[in-house]
Amino acid sequence: MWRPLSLILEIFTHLRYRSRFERLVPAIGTLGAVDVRGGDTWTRYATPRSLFELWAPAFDSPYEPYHCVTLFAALGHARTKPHPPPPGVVERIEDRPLIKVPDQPIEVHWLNQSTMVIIDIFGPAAVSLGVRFIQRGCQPVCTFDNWPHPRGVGKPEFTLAALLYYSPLVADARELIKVDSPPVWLCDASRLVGRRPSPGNFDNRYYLDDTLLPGSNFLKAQGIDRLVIILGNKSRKLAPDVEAWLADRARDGFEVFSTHLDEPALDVQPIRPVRGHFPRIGSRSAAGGFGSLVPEPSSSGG
Amino acid sequence: MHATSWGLELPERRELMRELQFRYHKWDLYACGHEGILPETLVLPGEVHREVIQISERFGQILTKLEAIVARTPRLLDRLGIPREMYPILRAGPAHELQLARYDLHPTPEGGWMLSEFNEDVPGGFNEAVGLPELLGERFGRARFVGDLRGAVVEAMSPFGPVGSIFATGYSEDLQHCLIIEDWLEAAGHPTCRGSPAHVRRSWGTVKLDGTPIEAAFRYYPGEWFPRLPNFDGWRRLGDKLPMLNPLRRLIRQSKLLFSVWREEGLLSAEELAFVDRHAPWTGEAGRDVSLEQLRDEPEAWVLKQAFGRMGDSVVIGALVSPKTWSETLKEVKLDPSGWLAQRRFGHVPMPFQLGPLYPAVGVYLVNGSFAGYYSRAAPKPLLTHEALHVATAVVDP
Repeated sequence: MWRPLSLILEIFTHLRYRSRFERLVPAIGTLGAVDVRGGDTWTRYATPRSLFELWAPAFDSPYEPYHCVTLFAALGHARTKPHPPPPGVVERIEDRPLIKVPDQPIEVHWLNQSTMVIIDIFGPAAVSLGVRFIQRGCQPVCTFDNWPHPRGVGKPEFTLAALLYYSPLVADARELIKVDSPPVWLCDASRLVGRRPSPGNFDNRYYLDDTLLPGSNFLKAQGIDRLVIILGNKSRKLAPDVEAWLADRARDGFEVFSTHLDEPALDVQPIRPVRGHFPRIGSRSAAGGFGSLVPEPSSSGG
Repeated sequence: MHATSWGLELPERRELMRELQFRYHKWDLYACGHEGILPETLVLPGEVHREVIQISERFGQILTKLEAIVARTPRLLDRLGIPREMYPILRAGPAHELQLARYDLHPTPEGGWMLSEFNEDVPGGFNEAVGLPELLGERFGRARFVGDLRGAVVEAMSPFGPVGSIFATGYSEDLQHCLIIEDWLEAAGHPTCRGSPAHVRRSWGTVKLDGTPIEAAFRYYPGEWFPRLPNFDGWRRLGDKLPMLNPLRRLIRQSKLLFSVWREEGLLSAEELAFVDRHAPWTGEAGRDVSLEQLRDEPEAWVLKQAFGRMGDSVVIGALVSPKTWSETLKEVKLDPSGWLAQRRFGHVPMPFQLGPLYPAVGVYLVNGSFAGYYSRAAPKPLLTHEALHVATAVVDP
């Protein structure tokens, strides 16, 4: 079994319901769960704040406002049980040499100071590939804005497991991350394409909006003029939120490229994203969130 | 009234924000790349503190009276733009009169206070409203943080055992509000659980949220959305029998068209009407009480709002928008005038902050009719939207 997934299974093995209502005991993974190095270094990062800061952009980075707290916070409120991975998912990930073992910095010719990388693939794989960009000196920005649930439409707990599993590698690479390093945005492509909610499901899908993806003026101020999006495979289409955002950037003069995991050298091709509706915070809010952009207002039926 | 700097060095401020993010679940600290909290505290003189409380509590009393009348008068419910499917629930009334509300008051050039709106359905902002005073402590001399929102909410829910939080599960910014309420309730001994209102079932006299029995609920889901729920029939049968903070009947107070309805003859006494006239802008139904021609010719004098707009997302101030935007809004009003109201624009006084002049709005929390704390904001324009900055609020000589 893919190791991050086995880690999450172990983590949640040690989280038990003591009663119907009591919070799960956050004694996470003390009984033998191992990380990418086969050790327990990951336990140093098993609190929401320490894991959030480990995977954050550089200290005082202008990108910090886009580094999303939500999934990291879930680590302190775990009220969930392990889920078996969907059939075939683990096998597909392990078949991808680019992300199987992130033990070396990524080697791509197009990466420079003016490039923003957006990895938009299955969450755990985005984390794995993200490690290789961090090892190359990129600063990570995590956009995981959902919450695990035993009957969640999405499975962000797998992503959380991956963040813990690879934590020793990121800890070692953090000294490479500088305030002016190119950013690598880590996105979970399953944010909108999880199972369709059915009775009793918990709808934890979400859009990337302008709290998670910056505007043109901001990017230009950081010296970014090229955007590269990495997708899961050649046939994979851009998600509507990212496509609308890329189209807006293209309109403002940014070069936009894409590549995918089936491309061994991650060679990029220019793309022309189609304009669409990019979700903006104006229809959500700090004090309410009453927009109607989430595909359904709530989670279930029946 | 003035603003005073927190006086924190950058590392201290950074630590405070981290605490706010992780101890108080304030995850949306940033909006579009900008921090949403001013590193300043708004200091109210004692007499201002007492005045805004008096205004808010008096409004609360008047709205309680109005709510009861409107709930049993379909003609008035029609005017509020409330979905008709909700009428039976509103008529039946709540099992418990729980209230968690926030009233937003603005200082005027005449030295008074005007209420732009009240948030009686699902007010927010608890995370920073409680978190900042606890984290900042007593560092502002004679100015002290006042109110006890946490204690008031816990006290309001004290008659009940298990409490469920219901919210739109796709929104993490709603979840953060539920989590802090759950923290308070669990610390007070209430078991808690959470889920969507679509997960609520009633069987054999027991209400269950996602299969877990609950005796009460904290509702962070807008009342006007309920008819869209797949289990709305169940809610209709349940009515307002499940004690909720807030009951569904609060939807009546949430409609901004109530500003217009309360002028109907016989609803309020002369004293009450004089009070609301003093502290709330004149409001009429667009196209009915104020003609579209008048709105077209006097954009400077009017504000257009939708009955159930939230966070300023459907507020159009004629003086602040281009003629084109005003004209397009009027076209929308013409297409569906029933959901729109026209409000006379009132003067709003800016005050100096470190960022420059900003327009403050003092948000007063009421829990079960009594003052429970502040959630104030300041904005570059006299309009509260998601871009408004939160500002902690303290009082000298409360």
